[in-house]
Amino acid sequence: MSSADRIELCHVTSGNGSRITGLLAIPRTTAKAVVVLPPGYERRMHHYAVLSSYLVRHEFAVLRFDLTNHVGVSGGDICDLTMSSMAHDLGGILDAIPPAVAGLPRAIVAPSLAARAAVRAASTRNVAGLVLLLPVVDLMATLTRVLGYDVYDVYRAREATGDDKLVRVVEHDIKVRFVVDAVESGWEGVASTAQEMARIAAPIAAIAAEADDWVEAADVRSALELGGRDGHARQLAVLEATSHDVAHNPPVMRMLVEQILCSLHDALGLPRDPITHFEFDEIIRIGSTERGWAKEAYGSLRAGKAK
Amino acid sequence: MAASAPALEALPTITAVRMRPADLQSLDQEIYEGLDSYTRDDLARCRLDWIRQAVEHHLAGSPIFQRLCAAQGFSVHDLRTIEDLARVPLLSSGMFKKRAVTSAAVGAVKECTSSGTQGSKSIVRRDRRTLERFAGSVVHGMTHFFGKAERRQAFVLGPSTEEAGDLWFSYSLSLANMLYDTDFFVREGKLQLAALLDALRDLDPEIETPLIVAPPSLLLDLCDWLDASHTRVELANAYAITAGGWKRRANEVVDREELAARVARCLAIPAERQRDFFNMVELNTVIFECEHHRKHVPPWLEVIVRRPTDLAAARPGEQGILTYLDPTATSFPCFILSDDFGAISHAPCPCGRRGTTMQLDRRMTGIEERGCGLKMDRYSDATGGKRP
Repeated sequence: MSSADRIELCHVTSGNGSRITGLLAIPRTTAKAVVVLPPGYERRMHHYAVLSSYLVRHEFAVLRFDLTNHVGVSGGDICDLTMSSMAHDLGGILDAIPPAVAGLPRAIVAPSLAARAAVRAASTRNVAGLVLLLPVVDLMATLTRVLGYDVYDVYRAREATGDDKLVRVVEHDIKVRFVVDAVESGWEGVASTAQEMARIAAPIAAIAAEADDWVEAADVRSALELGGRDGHARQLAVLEATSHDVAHNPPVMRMLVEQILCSLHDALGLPRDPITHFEFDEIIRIGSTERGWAKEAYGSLRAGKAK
Repeated sequence: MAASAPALEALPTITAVRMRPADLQSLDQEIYEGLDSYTRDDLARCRLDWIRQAVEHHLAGSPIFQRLCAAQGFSVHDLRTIEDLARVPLLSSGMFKKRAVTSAAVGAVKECTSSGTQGSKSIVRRDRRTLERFAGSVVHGMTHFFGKAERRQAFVLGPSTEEAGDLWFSYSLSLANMLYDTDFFVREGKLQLAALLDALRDLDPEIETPLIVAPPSLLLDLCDWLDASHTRVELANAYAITAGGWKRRANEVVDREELAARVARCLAIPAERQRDFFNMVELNTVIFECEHHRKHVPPWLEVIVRRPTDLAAARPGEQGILTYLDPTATSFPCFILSDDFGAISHAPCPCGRRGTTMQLDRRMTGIEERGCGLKMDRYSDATGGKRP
């Protein structure tokens, strides 16, 4: 169980009309801000239970959700995933923050692929800060590394294959439409990311990993440098000896959590509070409880019901 | 796509820092991030360093280990080559039944208990770092021997921690929940075979690979039950993983090939997808088996086989008592003389992974155990009083 005073199931309509299911966790004390926490590719909201619990323990409300057209309990199938659908989900969430926390400053903590969508969603909305974790900033370069062949080959072949042809991306089949959307809706390259970052009138902190096979730390740095905006901090932390898969590296996870919390406090102009970590068994218990909820599609958490 | 952002020199500079956790040692890097653990050549040297650091840590923090070292005239400076590792003083696994074996534990400590098959239970105290590294050894092994994949679900023929408390078998398997949805099918002391069958038949289509995890005796029970009810389950994509030995059902042991044939017939799981994991409550690393049924020793763990006559290090291939030097434990000295007979090999494995492989043959008999105990007693009197 998390340290949340309340945890509520909530439903929001995505910018593309699909139903998003999320979990809102509210701390016992007055929350400093509401943190919107989208999942990375092939991740579900329960994968972020421990991070959410850390944020709640340090007095942030947290709104997590499963993406639409993705794995999890929100609408649609992962084969229909596009970057635009991810950005629509984030936009839908930011535009419909539940009333219980709607008056709070809004921050986004977004990992990996979701970080790229978060940059676009935040570029047209008012947010207090962004924390990007191992962020994809050059989508096509990352896709090429993940696929092991040039993603533009998929794009060039689209007229012959059709947009519905499936491409294996890690463990799931995604329609070629994902690549078409990436190219034709302006998701390519570091420059597009930087251009959208430059529109964000809020601090942006990015945390990259030195041994990340999917995201070059140098690209993240370029995006932040090119995406600068006067009066709004752009910060980069590079984790040494760390890959894209940080979840099973406890020392790195603790440092990542500390960095996220410091970045959020800095973005909100708040003094940095001491950080207290969970014990091993607490982390196992939090993860196990949330897996239990996810397995029964959150049936025991009725919408709006305090837990 | 063309960049329309302003030129770099016109922009405010960013703040950039490089960070490394203070508690991330090179051993942690190997456990948590080591992708070439079974292909690199230089890991024996690393292992020597890791074990030397662990010896220093426990010499400073464990009175029992200090006394053992003093009684044997052993100093950390004696560890100069990988062969010198055979000189590290060992604690018999039985010592954990008699004494509180602790070292410089940090923070909360979890008491992990054995099943107590042979009478009294071992109690092993693990702190956060020790538990994290144990869990890391599980993730490391799963990644190297089963591949990195999320679309799996574990079905454990054993009790959950809610039912079994601190029992190490259940606790260690509960860590699978970190990776995959995990269900336990021993409830109120009974194997819930019908519930297991229902769960396997109702498998979520999202799950590509079910993992059936069981002590061999309960896997045999499952096969018996399926045979008796003339039922077959098609689980060709599954893995059947045995762990934990036969314990109180030693008189029912069937050999590995026979069990494999039964599992293949009843569950359609081919032999290469049937694996045995090895661990014991006193050991902080799980040893995984490859598709050729060889147990690969991870690079941080030193397994030394000793001759029962004088506890001298045996040659590769020679059967003897299995002993372990595991540097991953910080809250107790994990330098263990086990109750098992086996052998090691440095020969290449057909799976292509390099390093040491280990073969587990049998438990020591009572007479052998007593003989070995007498040899250990030459210096175990130095370890002090009984467990409080």
